[in-house]
Amino acid sequence: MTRKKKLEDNETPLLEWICGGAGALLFFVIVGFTLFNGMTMKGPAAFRYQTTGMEAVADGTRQIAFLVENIGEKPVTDLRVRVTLMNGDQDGQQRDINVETVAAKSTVKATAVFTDPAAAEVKFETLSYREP
Amino acid sequence: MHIDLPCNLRYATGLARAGLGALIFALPLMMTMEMWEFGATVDRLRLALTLTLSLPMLTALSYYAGFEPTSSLLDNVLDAFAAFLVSLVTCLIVMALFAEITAMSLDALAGKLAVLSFPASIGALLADKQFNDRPDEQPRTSITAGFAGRLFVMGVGALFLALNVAPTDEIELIAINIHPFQAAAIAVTSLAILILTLRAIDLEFDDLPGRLTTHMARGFAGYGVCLLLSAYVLWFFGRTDGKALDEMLESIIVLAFPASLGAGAARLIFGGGKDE
Repeated sequence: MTRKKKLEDNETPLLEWICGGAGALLFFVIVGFTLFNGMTMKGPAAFRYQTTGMEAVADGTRQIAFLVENIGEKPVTDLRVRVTLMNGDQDGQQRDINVETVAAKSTVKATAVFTDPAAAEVKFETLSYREP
Repeated sequence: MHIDLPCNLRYATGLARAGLGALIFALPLMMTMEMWEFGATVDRLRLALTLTLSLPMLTALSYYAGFEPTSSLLDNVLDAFAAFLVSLVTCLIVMALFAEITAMSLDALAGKLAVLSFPASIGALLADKQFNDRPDEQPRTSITAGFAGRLFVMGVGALFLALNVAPTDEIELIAINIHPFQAAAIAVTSLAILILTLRAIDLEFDDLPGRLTTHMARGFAGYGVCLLLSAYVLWFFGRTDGKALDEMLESIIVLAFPASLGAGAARLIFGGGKDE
């Protein structure tokens, strides 16, 4: 290393080394992680639904909150979900819900509003989605 | 390596300036719904390529602008990474404040932050140009620009404005709605604005401004850069996928309109540049 270069190195504040090093580490981790996901995540999207709450509201409706989880490896947009209230084996009221985006391995919250206060079981059905 | 307090405090002030620059430049994107979705759905290989290509660009930008004075290539590389770090932290804080960091996979979170921190890093490195507290310091670009530097500066401005507009659906809608003659008119208007802006800047900064033909040549070169960068940005956002060639070209021309304004504005911010 020449004397000039040594001088230049000496002029670099410690904080610059720390921030530059941390930034470099984050940069390469994110690029590497993104590349790895780009090359390995090739499976289709798949969905799991979980009811998180059923609440009777003062206006006479019943709101059923649920989680949509994309357990697949591809993100989707415009996901359409049909939520059906079950009266025993019989299908009751149905609501079609549109979910804008669900990233891979991620969840989104949604709520369906029904006017039938009796049924206790809920069925979820994936109708369609778009690949972004 | 300096461990004395005043030197590190000066750098910390530069970092704070970089954070503010990142915030101002990336806030419109952070408040754009399409960007939230795009972070989760972007093609991972395109994102990795764009991030990788951004590194030499940020290093060069640190040389031409930067959030603190630099003296060597190593200094510029360190500042480029520091700008990335500051941008990442800024985007994380703002997105958390906007309740956009929710139950999502690490992949989606990384995508969201990476997509936003790319334009934010540009803002961080332009911070010195916006909030320079050393009015007596001679702008570095005036001394070292040259043709390549001038094109680079225009490219950064074009890229920045294109990144702000490209995620929205409007570019596609405009491209669908316009007649090819209107697309040609947009291209001519963009080019004319760029040429006139470059001429106005040189008239202001140079004692001996070049001839109109020189500015026309520079304008064509700059507009070429705007077209190429607009094509790349549209490809990055997946807006060229499955498109017919004519539709794709019209989208590129539409996006190159704000890009050429950005290119002219960047030259205005950086001031005149002498030929080398």
